[in-house]
Amino acid sequence: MRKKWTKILLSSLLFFLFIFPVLFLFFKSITFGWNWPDILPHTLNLRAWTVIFNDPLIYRSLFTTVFIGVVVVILNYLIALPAAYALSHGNPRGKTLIETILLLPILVPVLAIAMGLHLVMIRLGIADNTAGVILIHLLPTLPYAVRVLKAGFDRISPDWVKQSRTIGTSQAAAFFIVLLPMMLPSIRSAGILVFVISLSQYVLTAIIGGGQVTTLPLLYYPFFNSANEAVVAGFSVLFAALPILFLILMESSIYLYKQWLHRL
Amino acid sequence: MFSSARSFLLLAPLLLFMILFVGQGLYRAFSESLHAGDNFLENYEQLFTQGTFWSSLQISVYVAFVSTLLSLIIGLWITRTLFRLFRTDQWKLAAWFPMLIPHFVAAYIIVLFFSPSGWFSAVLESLPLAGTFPVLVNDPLYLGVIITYIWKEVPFVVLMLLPVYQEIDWRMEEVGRSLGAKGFTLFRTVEWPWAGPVTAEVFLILFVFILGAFEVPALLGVTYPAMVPVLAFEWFYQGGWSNRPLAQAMMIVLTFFSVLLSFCLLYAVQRSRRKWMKGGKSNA
Amino acid sequence: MLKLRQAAKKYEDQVIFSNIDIAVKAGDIVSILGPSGCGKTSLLRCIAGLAAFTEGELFIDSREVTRIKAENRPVVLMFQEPLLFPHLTVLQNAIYGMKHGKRKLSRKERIRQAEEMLKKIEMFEWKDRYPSQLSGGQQQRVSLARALLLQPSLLLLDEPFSSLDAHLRHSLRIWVRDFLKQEGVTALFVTHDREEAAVMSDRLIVMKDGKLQQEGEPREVYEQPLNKDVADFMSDGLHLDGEFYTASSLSISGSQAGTYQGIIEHPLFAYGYTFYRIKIPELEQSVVVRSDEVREEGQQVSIAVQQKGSAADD
Repeated sequence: MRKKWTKILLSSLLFFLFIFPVLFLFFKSITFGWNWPDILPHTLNLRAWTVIFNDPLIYRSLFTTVFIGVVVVILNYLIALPAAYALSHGNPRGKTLIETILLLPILVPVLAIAMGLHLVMIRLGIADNTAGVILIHLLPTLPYAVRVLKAGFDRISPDWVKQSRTIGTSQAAAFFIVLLPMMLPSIRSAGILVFVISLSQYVLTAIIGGGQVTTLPLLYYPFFNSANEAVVAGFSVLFAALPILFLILMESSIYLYKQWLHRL
Repeated sequence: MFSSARSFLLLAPLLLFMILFVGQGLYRAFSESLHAGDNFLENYEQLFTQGTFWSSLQISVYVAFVSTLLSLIIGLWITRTLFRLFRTDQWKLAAWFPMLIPHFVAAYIIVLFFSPSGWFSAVLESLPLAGTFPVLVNDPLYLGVIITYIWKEVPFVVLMLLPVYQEIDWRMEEVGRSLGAKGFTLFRTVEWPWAGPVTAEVFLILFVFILGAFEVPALLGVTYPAMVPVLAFEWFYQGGWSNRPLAQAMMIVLTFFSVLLSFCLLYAVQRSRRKWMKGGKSNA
Repeated sequence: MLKLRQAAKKYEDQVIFSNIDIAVKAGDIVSILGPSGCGKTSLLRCIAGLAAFTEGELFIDSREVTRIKAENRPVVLMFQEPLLFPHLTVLQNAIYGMKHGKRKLSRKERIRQAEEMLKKIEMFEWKDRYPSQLSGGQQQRVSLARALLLQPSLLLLDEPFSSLDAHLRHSLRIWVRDFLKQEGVTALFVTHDREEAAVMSDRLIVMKDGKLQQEGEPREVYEQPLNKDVADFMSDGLHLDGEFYTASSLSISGSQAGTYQGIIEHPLFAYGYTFYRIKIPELEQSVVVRSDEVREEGQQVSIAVQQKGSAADD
């Protein structure tokens, strides 16, 4: 009995610590002139959101941010899926060494790498533009994508693939019909994780984008200390909303894929 | 299982990226940090004689260590108490939720609650208690930064430890109890052999990440002492790029420090685990 | 030694066991025998303190321990699997309870005692190995050593041989029985294998559906089962007009009056003899009877029953 109460207590504590602050942020964004030391606002309205949606700069950078995020996710899949598959079901020589190398971007400050790459990327003409930013976003995302996807492949027995091969399906078909559907949960998690990491980059975008590529975080920093707290709160909520938007995008593509599977 | 050659074919894009980006990036950063003249380590000598660098390094290590340690302790405690609840998806989603929030938004949440004009301060003001709200944001002790990191990283710790806790053989706890072990001994002998290596790994990931991260201290830190990445970013663009080699030398020092720590920690974990994991050889 | 009075365990609305009275004399090995799901493992866990009785009182060495936590009870439970700590060596596993647990000893003394015990169980040369390097039987022996080193008033064993293969099971259980006897350990042993119960114990208790059915020496229970459930589970023979006739009073004969007609289902070979499993349709029962003649599957035979009391005339 005592244990049950601890659990209820702890779970409500978790709610207040982790969910409530984000709800508070949203609440803050629909108030106006809620200043210290008022505990509750006097009025609720949507003025902050009107400000946000009337700013053409925010509109444009919203598009840039989502575009970069989605491309980063797709590139992550293209690079990390085969690699994770090889690490999980294959037997490459020096596996431990490879896995350590893959961890490097996590175990080394990415800022150091980005600073080192800055001049090279300028010379190659991929700095100060979206392509460069996309490439540099691969740095903090790839290790996590490989990790999540490898864990997904680890849960699938190689026998499944073998079995479908013995029936006579081609290798590609075996991948799309057998492996991929089983990998969907991991693919979904990896996608969200990568998207959120890409969304959270300020310093990499600032250095490699050179101020020419304005993603939302680059607009957010100057906003941060602005006097209009409701607007900053609304801007913050936007960041929480983008992964949800991405999730919807993702779920609909998964739905389409499943439709395609059933038609087979 | 398939051949080594085929594995490498599948790994090729990733390895290529790692060499071209990580390898080259580090190499360039290192070579640009070297001095062109006779004394090629001049930038490092200059760095090490600067008080700014040392106080930045000090504050960085302090913030990274305290944030990581507290996140781990809280995360471990939550995981231990709630891992049975987390089997269901709604609960997992609740744990995932803060992971969706970028670090700088988390920083803003902390400002909303903890700044001198924040909500907690307002609540405190309305209470009949005397006392002013302490300065927790842009404070020289970096408390706001630490709170932000704890808020963001505890869910990450929980998410990493959860699979471990869900796979622990809890009959071992009963064995321990039946033999008379209690409290901390049970934790140390039943849970820690499994949770320990993952905890070490998470410690490493978080410590290195916080050590090298710019986003939060740039918003909630102070100008002096600034955390190393903030200082490096400042130097990187200062005086028409003239301070660049110094900035890069500083980041290389940080990199070296991180890699050394990773190596020691991963090696120690591997060594202790290899002894008793299945197929291990005894040293007897 | 152990005295359990009117013990019951209920979980939500379900009764796991009830009205359990057990007494175990010092130095005895007592088996609780029953089919899976009869509540015997729950009973053992409650005695160990890993679960709580809903009703009843438990005394060990004349001290009431009903409310005492598992870690403080003078009993040790051995599980179905060895459950050695994988990160500790054999010696460290053996020492565990004397270092952290119920019988705290100085470092020197606990190492001496553990090494002595490992010698007794013939595991001394393995003392610095890790559990993953041992066979199942070796692991179970170390597990036993780890429990016995605590010198518990009562050792509880929950089907400790069920995870081993048949051959190893047979040799290890005799070894364990002899070892427990030699060390003078009082033990309560749970199993669903009647042969194991008979080999291991001085007395046995048959349990079914959460109730005690019969208690006695193995031979007594085998020859005179008190009810049909006990007979089905513990004995071999036939139920005739409310009485039970053990297989020793049955024989295969030609067709005579007072016999039952049966069909040979299949032969069994054991301990140098041949037995036949015979189905008796009119009684809706099957029985295993020894026979020296060679019989065919499907063959019609008659079963003669030696009436009770006439056995001495033979």
